[in-house]
Amino acid sequence: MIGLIREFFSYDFLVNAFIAGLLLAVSTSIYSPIVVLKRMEFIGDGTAHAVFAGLAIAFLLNLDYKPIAILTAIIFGLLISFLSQREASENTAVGILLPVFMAFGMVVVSFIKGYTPDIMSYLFGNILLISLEDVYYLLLITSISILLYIFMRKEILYFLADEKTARFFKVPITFIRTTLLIGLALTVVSAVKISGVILVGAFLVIPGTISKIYARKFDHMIFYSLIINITATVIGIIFSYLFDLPPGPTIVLLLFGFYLLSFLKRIM
Amino acid sequence: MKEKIVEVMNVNYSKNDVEILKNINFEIFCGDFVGIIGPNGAGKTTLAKIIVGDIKDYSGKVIVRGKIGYVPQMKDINRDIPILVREFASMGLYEKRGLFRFFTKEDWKEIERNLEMVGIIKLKDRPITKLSGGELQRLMLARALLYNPDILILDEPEAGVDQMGKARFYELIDTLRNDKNLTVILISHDIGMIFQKCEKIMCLNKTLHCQAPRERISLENLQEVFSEDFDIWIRGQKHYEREHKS
Ligand SMILES: Nc1ncnc2c1ncn2[C@@H]1O[C@H](COP(=O)(O)OP(=O)(O)O)[C@@H](O)[C@H]1O
Ligand SMILES: [Mg+2]
Repeated sequence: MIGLIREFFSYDFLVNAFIAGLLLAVSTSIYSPIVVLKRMEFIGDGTAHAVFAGLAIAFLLNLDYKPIAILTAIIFGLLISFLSQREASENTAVGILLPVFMAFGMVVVSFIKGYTPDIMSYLFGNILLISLEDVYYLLLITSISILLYIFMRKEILYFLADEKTARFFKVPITFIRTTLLIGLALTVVSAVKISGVILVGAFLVIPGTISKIYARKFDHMIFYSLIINITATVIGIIFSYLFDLPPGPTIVLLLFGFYLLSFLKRIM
Repeated sequence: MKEKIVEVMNVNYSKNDVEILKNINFEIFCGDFVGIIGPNGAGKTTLAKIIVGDIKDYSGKVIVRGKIGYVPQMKDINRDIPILVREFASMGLYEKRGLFRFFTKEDWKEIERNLEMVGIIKLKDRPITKLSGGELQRLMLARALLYNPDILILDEPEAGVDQMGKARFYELIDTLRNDKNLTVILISHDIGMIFQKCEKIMCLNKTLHCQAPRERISLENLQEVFSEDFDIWIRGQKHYEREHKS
């Protein structure tokens, strides 16, 4: 066992993957309860697909992908925020915009000559390609998320429980919605390299859904999500190392396993 | 002569080319206890939102000389959210602290005083997911009181509350009105209760069909407002079922 751990930590890329996975676990446990309680489960997928459009542009023009990915994610977040203030719910807004961004990304990809393996790795993610720079970015995003949670906790609760009347009580709902959606967009950008565009939604939906069953308090939801995320990430990375499995999907399957367990508990 | 606290002049409101409120004129004086009745879809909530300032694209003029404490319809609230009773009530004090600020010990004491006043202090650490309709109604009242209002606007506070709970809730409103010298506007389905408690009654169905002290409101007035639905309206329970089916 000790030997295994020593072996594991002797590879830089594994250590990076491990730290990145844990950081992502922390930031998604803050957003997951919000996403689930506000019933905007598709926001993660939507943002990830928007990021895909950004990546495609970056590859076509041979630019650094991160700023462009961040930019498209933020544009997507702002558009959702704007649309969902009108008649549409967040989910409807995502439903409209997701295919648009994805289609745009695919059109752009079709202009890139030859094989595009890098783009493919973003679709499915590869935690083992995480660089030190990615880890720093994740550290920054996770810190921002924690600060948001600490300093905007009451506003987030008002936003979730009674958005309409909160406006009357001078709560800046538009600011809160926009800030949260941008924070979420930045988190998704950081998650894409780990889980891929296709799997990112699982990190944002499953922990919140499970924790909602047990929690009496919003903070407990975040805490339970954190435990679920960290457990799935740690076990997932170790499993994928031992049995040579793709890490992202392994973690998602573990999350789903936890969901099934919680489901059993509920019917018993 | 008592002071005018709310003046509504020539208010018209349409949405998507549908006329929702037409030619609304009334005034409310300091300390009044006014009841607004009318069938479903009459525009009662819309009128409340115009007075409160939630709806702004109406035509006409509304003057409010005081601070409003708003108790909205219960269906506005997402009862699925694990927010504690005292946290929910704290929204009423938000204005005092604002973004990125924390509530102080004194703030929490004030919140508890108000929860005590409405009789739900024992529930202060319970999530709203576990509250009954009546308890939630009281919580919304506490939140409105924490805003330190001169005028209280309650939109169907009896919805989802049992018979005993209703009677006690109206007693509470009476007490608060006397203690705090509040002006109260009560929108309600409960014609019986409105006639028992309110001094002035307004009958709304798109436009104001009558507004008068309660002694001067007749059965015919009511019949006019509620038209063919009237018999359903006097049998309250049946109406309730009808509303929830449609
Ligand atoms: N958001 C909205 N969009 C369009 N019509 C609305 C909206 N809200 C209410 N209405 C319409 O306005 C009318 C008045 O509604 P409301 O003020 O809620 O009535 P009440 O509170 O008396 O039941 C109804 O006919 C309703 O269909
Ligand atoms: Mg109404």
